[in-house]
Amino acid sequence: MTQATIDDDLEARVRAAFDEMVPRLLAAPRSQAAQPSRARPFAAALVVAATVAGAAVLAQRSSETSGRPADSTVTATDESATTTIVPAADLSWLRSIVPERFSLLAMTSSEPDRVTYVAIEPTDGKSLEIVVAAGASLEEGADVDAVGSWAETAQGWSVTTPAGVRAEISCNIGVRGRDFPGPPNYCELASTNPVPKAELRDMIGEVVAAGRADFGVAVASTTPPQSVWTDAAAGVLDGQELIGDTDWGTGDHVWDYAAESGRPDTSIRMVTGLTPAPDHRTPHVLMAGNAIGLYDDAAAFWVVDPSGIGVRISTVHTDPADLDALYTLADDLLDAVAGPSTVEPGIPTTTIAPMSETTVSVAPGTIRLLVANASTVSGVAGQLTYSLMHEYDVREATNATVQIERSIVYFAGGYEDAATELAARIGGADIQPMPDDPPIEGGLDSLRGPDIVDPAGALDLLVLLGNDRASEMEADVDTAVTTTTVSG
Amino acid sequence: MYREHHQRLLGLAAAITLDRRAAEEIVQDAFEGLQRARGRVERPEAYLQRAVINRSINRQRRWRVAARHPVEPPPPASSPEVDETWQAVVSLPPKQRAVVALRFWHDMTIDAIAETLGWPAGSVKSTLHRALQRLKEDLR
Repeated sequence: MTQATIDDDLEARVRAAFDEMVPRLLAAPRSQAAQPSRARPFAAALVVAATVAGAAVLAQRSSETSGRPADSTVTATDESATTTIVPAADLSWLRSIVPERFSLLAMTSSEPDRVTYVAIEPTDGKSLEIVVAAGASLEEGADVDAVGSWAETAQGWSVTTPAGVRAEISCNIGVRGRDFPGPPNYCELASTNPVPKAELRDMIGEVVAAGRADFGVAVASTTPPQSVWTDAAAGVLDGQELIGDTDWGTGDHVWDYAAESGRPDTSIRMVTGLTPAPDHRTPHVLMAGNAIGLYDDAAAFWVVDPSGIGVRISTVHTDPADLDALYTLADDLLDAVAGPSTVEPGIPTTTIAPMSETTVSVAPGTIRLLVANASTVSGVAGQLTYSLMHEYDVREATNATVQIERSIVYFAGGYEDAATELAARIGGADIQPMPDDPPIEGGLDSLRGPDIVDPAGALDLLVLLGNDRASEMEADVDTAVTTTTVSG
Repeated sequence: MYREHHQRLLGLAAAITLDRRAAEEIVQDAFEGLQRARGRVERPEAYLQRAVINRSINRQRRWRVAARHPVEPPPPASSPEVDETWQAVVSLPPKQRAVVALRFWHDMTIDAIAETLGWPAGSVKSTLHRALQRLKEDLR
């Protein structure tokens, strides 16, 4: 049998395998259950409420209501979790009300007369809880204005309108420290990027004015079985007992653990349907030094998966080792319900550096970067490219046409600051303006492709990875880039 | 365009990622990317194909990082030969599997693959050569 015949046979077998197996992969079983929408506009609920209350002040405002959530759900079930995925609700109206740093929003429950929303600040663990309910009675109170009757709560404000709508907002981090001397509202601590109560009052006033709510619609949910929690928590929460297992909403569950009964030491919350979902799992924030997320006697952080599922862990155990173990727990829980992480579990991937004096005018994610291997070590350009892919618009790694000892970061016009930052990031490199003909295999023409018609100007930064950085990476791929996991 | 290319791209993404849900996500992302880049893309079909392949390769790399989370088991094959061949295909690194899929499943020429992936033709050839060597060894 000739070599050509052998190859033909192999090709035929491979083709047959793709032909048969890819359709099978795509046809893997799943259940779909269409569920008619029970969505009704805030207007309808308000009209009911207004009839009860004898006023219709807000009903007019709700005439703008549109963009209902989609009317179907897809339920996926596996051994780890039951997940109901629904298209993200249109929360753009809420986006314009809550501060920008509360960057992820979700509708966590929706009943015919009550809906809850959450807005989370991923890096310091805070969350804003918003409840809108119809059918409330106007309360007699001292604090009454044109909006309604106001009442201050421990962590926020509530307002009841003449139309019978009650709206509440609060801010929390999940747990309260055992020795915290002040009011139980960590969101107001001056040292922790505070959210003053006055701002909360303004926000809930705007929520009411927006005249929007999503009563009785499908809400995304994820319910991991108990074994997932007990398995993941084993060894991390030893000495603490599960004292609370609460559904705060369809897509909102809280598990409280305590060493002593009555008050949780550690609170774990899972929220589903966060939008806009990040394109990779949000990085670990080290709870040390001046990093945000540390409160007087507590700490809190969110880890959010591209699936839109977020886990918040807040705790009074603020030792960095404890926090690192809790981060791993959050990662494990997300792995169990949303698939594996895009980063090595348990390895800190990003530290929060002290605020720099330098103003970066270009968002790193938009910077077009190519890494070329100019060293004697193979594979390092690909490793570095992969480690930077979440922060930069990376091109496929390539080889340089030269070998150099000391690495160089070339920069296009306007990207010198970005080059300096990247050079520091990779452990040091010379900074030079981009040459007209960069020393990469195939030259700039190698960048040409369907989305790059004119390769001149197609790069903002070019790294020539020399033997200095390459040898470090070869020696220890996990620490060669000090702030990012290197993999692959 | 969506109707015309969706299923083909979905198959390609699934062939590389070996994961239906990941494939669906990747194809959706690629179409969204095309939408955002509308007006700057001269050849939308090529853009979509390249985006899907690159995202699939990267996705598969990332999943492999978490070694304790194995790739989901393949569905059962109709014959031992197909099963054996598919196991060998599945064991290829994602880049090699992508090139093999384009060459033998999508019947693309080396030059066409090179253009699609934005690689030099020599890189495509060497990747394909390594993939075939590995397949031959696995199926010996």
